[in-house]
Amino acid sequence: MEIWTIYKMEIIKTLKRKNSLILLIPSILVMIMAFGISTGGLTFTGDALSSGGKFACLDFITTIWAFFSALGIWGILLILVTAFQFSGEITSGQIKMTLLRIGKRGPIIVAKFLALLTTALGAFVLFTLTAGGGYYLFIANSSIGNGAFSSSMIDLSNTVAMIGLIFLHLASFMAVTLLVGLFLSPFIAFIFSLISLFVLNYLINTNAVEVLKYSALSVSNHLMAGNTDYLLYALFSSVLIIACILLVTSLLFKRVDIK
Amino acid sequence: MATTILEITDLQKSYGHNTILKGINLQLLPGKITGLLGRNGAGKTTLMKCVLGLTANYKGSMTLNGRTLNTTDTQTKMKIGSLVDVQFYEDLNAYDNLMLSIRLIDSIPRKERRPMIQESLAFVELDNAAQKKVKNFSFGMKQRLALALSLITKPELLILDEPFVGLDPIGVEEVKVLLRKLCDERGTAILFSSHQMQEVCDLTDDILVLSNGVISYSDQNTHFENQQAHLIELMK
Repeated sequence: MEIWTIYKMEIIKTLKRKNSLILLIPSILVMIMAFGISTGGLTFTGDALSSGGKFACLDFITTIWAFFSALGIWGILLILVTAFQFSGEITSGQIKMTLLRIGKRGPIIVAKFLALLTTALGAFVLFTLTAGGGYYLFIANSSIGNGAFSSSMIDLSNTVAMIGLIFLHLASFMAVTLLVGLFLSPFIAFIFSLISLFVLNYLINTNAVEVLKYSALSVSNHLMAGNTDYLLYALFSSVLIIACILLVTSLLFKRVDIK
Repeated sequence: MATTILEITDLQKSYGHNTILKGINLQLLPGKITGLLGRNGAGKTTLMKCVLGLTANYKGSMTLNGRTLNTTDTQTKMKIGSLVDVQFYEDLNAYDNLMLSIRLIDSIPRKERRPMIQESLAFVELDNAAQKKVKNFSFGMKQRLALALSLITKPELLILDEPFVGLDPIGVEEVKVLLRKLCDERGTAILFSSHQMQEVCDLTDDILVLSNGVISYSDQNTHFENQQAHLIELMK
């Protein structure tokens, strides 16, 4: 019950705070990119994801997601928001507003994480819809668009699963940011988590560590090629890792003295 | 004899190897204002944070109304109001800040929230600034808002860390009247720390001096001659 109460408060706070607006950046960028592609200002190639060089809406959305994921834009933004929503509150003392009302600290961690996930999910949905909207506004009638929604290259279910796995991958690093944010300032927590994210992404993309083939990002990458191996492993391992990190964070948070 | 609201026995707290509180014993009675004096770094804020559950890993025992003080119990937290360096959400207005806080209390029905906030803001004369963003508040206004926040649940015990800082002389007098009224009308027990000797001498029923990690002086405030000079000596 406490988790639900804190969750609602966190969601309201997130909606009212201006720094949450940075999560709109990808949606704005994708619209500008779609416009740029349609005018020839940007060159968009993706032979592996298009049929004869013509993109369907689903091709465009999938390619844009893969592009933003590879660049790590979502990672940067979500880790930044997480760092400031938690470590920032501990450092500034704003967390006292919650701690002076709520007794147990564990539910605060869980509720904050769920609120951040909801915010991220909202931003992901908006981004995907904007990419779709951008396609029909600017790409569909251009030389590289075919105007169709469905793709001959990738299934809708695979695209949804790919986005879901990217979400899980980033969620685990949001959990890491909460953990390190207990002891580090927001900026240092952000840098630490971001470097960890990029290192892991590099290891996954280079197949340097065998066990990482079960990771959410690795499976997400393979889904683009229609390969659904290890999907359940990725799901379970990601959820388990997140649960473990949150448990450790909750236990350690009980021992933290608030300034 | 009045029942003790808060009783602290042999409270000890260290940060690393630095022991701040070396065995604090104190009692707070309903309807009494207790002033806590001490030099910077004496441990006044640490003591208050222990009571509020903001500081962990302390030794000793604390009881609230005769029962072991459980700082992880949300119902217990409702009985304690506090003003300890509260940092508000600066992007939000005063009303929203209080609403965020009051939303965390399940036992307050939704329809009672607005009148409670309005009453609390009116009490500290911030009702006209309710829709103003906190980042535009002066320090004194933030202190008043923090006071409104601490009073919103009508607590039995008020813990106030430097409540007069940033207030103008009229504000100081108003807060003093307000605190006295809370004690007399609601029987609230108040523990407040201050460096302003005049306020402590004027307002308190009891005075505690925290020095070298222990309560070095504890007595009723008898308003004797040269009291301020005497208390300064005790703080050294």
